[in-house]
Amino acid sequence: MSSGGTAMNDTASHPTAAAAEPPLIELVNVSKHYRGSSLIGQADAPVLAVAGVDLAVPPASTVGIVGESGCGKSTLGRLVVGLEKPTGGEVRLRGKRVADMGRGERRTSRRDIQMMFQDPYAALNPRMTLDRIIEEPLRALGGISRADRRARVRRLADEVGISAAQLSRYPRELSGGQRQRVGLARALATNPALIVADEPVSALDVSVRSQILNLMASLQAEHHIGYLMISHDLTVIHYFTDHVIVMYLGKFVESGPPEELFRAPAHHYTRALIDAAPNPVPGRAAAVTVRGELPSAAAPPSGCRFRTRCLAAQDLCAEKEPVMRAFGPGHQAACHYPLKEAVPA
Amino acid sequence: MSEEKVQASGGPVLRVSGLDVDIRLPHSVVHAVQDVSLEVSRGETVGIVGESGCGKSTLGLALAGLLPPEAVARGSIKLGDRELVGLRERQLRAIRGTEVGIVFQDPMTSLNPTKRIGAQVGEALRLQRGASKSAALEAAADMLDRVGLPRPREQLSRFPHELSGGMRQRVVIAAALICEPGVLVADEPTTALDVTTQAQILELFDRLSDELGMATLLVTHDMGVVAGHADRVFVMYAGREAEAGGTQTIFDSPRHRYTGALLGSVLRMETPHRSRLGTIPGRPPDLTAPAAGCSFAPRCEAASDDCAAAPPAASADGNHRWSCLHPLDSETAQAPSGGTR
Repeated sequence: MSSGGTAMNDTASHPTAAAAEPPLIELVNVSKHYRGSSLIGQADAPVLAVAGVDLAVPPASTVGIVGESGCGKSTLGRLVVGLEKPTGGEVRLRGKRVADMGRGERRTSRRDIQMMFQDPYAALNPRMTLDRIIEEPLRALGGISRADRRARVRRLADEVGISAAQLSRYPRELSGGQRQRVGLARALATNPALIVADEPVSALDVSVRSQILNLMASLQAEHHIGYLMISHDLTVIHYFTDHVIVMYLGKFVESGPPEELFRAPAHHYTRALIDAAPNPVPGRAAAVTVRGELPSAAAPPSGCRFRTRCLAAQDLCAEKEPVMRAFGPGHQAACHYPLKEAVPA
Repeated sequence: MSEEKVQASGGPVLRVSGLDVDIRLPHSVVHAVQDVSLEVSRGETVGIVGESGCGKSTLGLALAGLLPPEAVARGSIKLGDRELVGLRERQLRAIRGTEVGIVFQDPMTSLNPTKRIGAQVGEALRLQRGASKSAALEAAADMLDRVGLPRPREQLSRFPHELSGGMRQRVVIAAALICEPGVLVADEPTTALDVTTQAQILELFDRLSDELGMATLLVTHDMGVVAGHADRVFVMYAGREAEAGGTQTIFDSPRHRYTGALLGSVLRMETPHRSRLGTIPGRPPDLTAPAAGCSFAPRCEAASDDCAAAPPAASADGNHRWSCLHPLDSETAQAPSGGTR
């Protein structure tokens, strides 16, 4: 394991994890770098969007990824769905390396993982009626009769709360919440084992947001799907996930069960995110504990990447990259001067 | 801010009464704001909240003197002794930026991509106050420093695209505040930003309203932002005031059923993991054909026949007002009580 990456070796102890089943998807020391843009005069320094991470999503569980924009969380989601190829490390589907699979095998195994996006409007083809949109992944899959596809579309629509009459409409005729329902129906069409949900409720009004979260929860219970939920909203992550990963400049800095991680974080960055999150409890907001913004991923700070914004940083933090240490069951963080004591190794 | 400070700060700097704003579309009229009255005092922050389409942004535009040409305002918006409703665009332009500062969600809508930051931040001083170019740049550097832009002097000659979103929003705020306006209208000023940047920007607003005595109207859909930064809350539904009062009162004992439902669907850190969340059935109404009665009635679990007859009159308890025929009990208000921060 690379230093700074984290193994979710708590997978087996996860309450919802089945004992023998290999994880649906596993990322092992995965990196993704992009060629730097020379637009602002910094010629071609590679941007390491994801820098050597290990991730597994146990069946039917929900893993959340939080971090500021630019931390690499969306790139990670795209790697999991297969929309991006890693530039380092390997991706395994049900225990098998994706790189070793033939094209056909890769395609059929990919139907196990689907995606829903923040802005369903941008993700839904505006020229297609809703039934076509939901049906499309089934057509792409092939081998299903038209009548069966139609029947499945109606059943999916019913499950997500879209009426049969609405199926002949176009995305523009729907509200944001209804569009997100259609996005969910489409993601469910191929009967996936995992849905990567990138900011699925961020664009929605609060009342609609809770409808979609309730729906996602009941669909999970019904179909035993797992979610990889990417969000900048700590209240959503805290409420919805079984395991949280905090990402900073392409690396995992802390991970653990939401209750413990948010109540007693070990990493100063996690603490700063919690303090900054607006909590709807009246009274003057907590003092800001993190200044400035994410540094460029093209030139990350030496040692601990968070040290340039960390109130507790010392010389060691610039010299040596902290490794992940255990802070409790399933709880790990990479910090030289953590907020609580590490469990002795 | 404490109650005493509001009283000590004198009368309201902005006083809206009976404001209606209609937006004329080719085939219909959107009644975006209906009969809104509100006051904001020096140094005070009022949060204007509601779901999308409730009219809160149109209200913000009206207060900023930025209504589009197809909008028609009736009623009164008094800035100090001056009436804004009915002023011509040229007169409004002189007020914007000097007496009323404006910050929108997307900083790029307010910034000119082809002009250097120093010139943009100092512009209002030059145009409205006749400051020299060098004096305006000097003041711009000073204001950029106050809003927390690192190395402000170096930034003067840069262009907006060279900055991050959070830094651009600081530039917009500096430009809005350069003439030290008495009133700031901020419409979702931090919605596009990361929580860490959001916290810094909101803290900046708090500090500037303390230091400059600025009255702030914070238009937002985020109850968390309002809870931490507003002195009073103005809840809008379908273009009208549903409820208004002190922030603590609104969160602890909402009376309007809509406020209660809204607060009941908000996620908190204290919300039990995977508990069934409260929702509001249905959708906000179409503002081209306002309901005769309470516009929340079709979505309200307590609605009766009376609710559909006429818009409910406002009831009040001190500065707490609500317009609901079946208000929540002030003792057993259903807003979930949160922990302390």
